[in-house]
Amino acid sequence: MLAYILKRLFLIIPVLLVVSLLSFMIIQLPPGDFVDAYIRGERGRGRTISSEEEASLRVRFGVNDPFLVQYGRWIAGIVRGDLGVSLALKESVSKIVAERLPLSALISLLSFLLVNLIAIPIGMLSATRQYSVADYFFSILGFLGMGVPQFIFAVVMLWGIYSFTGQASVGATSPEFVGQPMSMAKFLDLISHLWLPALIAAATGTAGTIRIMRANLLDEMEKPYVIVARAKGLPRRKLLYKYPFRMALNPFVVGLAGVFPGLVSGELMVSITLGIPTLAPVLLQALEMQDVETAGSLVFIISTLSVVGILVSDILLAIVDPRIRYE
Amino acid sequence: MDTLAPLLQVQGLKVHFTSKEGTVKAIDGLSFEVYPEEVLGIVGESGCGKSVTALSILNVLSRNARIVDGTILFRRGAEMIDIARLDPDGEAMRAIQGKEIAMIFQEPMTAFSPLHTIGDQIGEMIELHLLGTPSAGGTPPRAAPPPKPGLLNRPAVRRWVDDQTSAILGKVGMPNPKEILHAYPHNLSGGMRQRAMIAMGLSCNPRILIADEPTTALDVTLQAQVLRLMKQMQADYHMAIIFITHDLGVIAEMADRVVVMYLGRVAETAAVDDLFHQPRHPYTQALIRSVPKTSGPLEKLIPIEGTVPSPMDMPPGCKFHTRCPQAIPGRCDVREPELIPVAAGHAVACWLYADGGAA
Repeated sequence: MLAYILKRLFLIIPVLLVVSLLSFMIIQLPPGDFVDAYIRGERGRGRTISSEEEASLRVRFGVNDPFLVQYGRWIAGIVRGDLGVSLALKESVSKIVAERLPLSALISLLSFLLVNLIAIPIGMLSATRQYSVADYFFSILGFLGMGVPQFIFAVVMLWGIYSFTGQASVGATSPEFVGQPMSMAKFLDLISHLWLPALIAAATGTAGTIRIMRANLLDEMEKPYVIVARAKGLPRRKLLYKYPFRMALNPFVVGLAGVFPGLVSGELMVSITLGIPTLAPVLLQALEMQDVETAGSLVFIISTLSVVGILVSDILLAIVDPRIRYE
Repeated sequence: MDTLAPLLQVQGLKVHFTSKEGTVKAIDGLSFEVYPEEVLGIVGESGCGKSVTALSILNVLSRNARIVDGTILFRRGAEMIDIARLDPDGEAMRAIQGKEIAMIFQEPMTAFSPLHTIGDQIGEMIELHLLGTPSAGGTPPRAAPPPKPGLLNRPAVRRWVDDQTSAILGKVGMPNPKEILHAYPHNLSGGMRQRAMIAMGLSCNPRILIADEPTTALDVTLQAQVLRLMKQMQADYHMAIIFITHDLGVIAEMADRVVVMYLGRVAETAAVDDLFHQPRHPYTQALIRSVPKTSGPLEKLIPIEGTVPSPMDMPPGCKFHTRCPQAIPGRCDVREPELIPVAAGHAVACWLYADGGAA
């Protein structure tokens, strides 16, 4: 098992190299480059940029260099732990990540917890009381949750908050904590702001998870081993948790892999709509402006987390399911 | 054996399945008895309701199935308990499940949970039914009396349960029962898994053991081993066995009495020798003819004509009349025959034997 994990960890390196090369290429595929986007933006603000200025910008940002040179420069930085500089925000990507990652991760984790805390018990209820009033109620609610786009949900919430408090955005912290170092008070303030975006982000996931849990459990409850367990005379609640529930959790362990990249890139809609400075909007902007190094670095982080997430869920799966053994 | 009071009496049992296409009458007026310490064979084609009968007796039918009529009387001491009236998940039913009536399932691979050890799955049954019951002695007597249950006594309980479990695993011929305790189902071979299944069925000294096609998933050599084991276990544990199979050869080998089922009803019931030597029902006769013989001159096998009618669209009258070579028009296709006694312990549901056998 340990040898297997080490092998998998080692395999991450070539995977990331390939992924980074491909993503770096794809980011540059659209016509134009960062300087074009920059000039467009300046022109929008009424400033004209001379062709000499444009040429010097191209040299400064290195956008005229061949693709491989640009990639080599960037990946050499990555290896040294330098994520490059965001041309759009005129700040080092490392600093942006350090500022925004905790927020992104916090929202993602909160919404992940909410999804599972709400969805798993409801899914169990729906499955054990199939076709009851409660089952129909939560099924309808679930389909609504899946059907309503996240940003609509966010806008409606925002409108609700505005009509109650007069504030037009949620933000991440109260004004007095902006720029302050992390403290217990700031952390609590953060949570009190972030539960709302987390809830909105959780809505879609909750709806889906309820359906998955219900279907898994309904499937498992008719399996022969469950009939056998009933024929043993086990108390039904104990039986439910010990056998079909355990089995129905396996797909969730697999799904855990998706949580890792979501820590960085998740909750884009909510962040934009509610004005929360997370990483996802930065990534979007970097892609729009062809800020290659910023986008590349963020995609690199997301890929790393994806690969690690898959590894972690594989290891967990081997722990919960004795049939799975890695050699 | 008929002088003894029956241990289990199924009377007029009807089990219906509801599905989108309509109602399926899987069991439609089934009656039979099980006497103490006998092996009752239930034989019939697939789909005739054998397994549903077993699941009904244990009250573990699936959600879309329902006992709509009839009684399943189980004798415990002086009282007769009607299982058909018990809440399937209630305490009274759970006290019978596994303890008084246990079952061996057809497919030992899917009948064990893949996520739990064999020791856990057998042990939990022993812990549930035998812990804290002074009468756990039973036959054969247990080596050590059970410890008092309770959180503080947990290690002692665990040890006792493990001891009991490995003892029963040893009893069914597992080579190293102590190791099997920690094995998962997928670690065992098919024959081993079926032995573990039998051990689980026996673990609480049930008075009735239901075996639903216990050898169907095994190859022929293993079949013989498992059958021999079950016979020996029956002798040691003095229990009644309801042996369900489609295989007449296995019935001839195992059963004392036989119930032949066709589409949810009893076609014929008799002692095993009477059934094979003097089959009365045209269906039983046809079944026996359709089995290849290993001795005597080579004969052409005679299959039963026609196909089993769709359960959604049952024929009126005797359900076998559509395939019966001796069907009497105007009679067999109009009214369903009841069981008619034709000899001591031999009854047949066929119009040929009505009115003193005026065929």
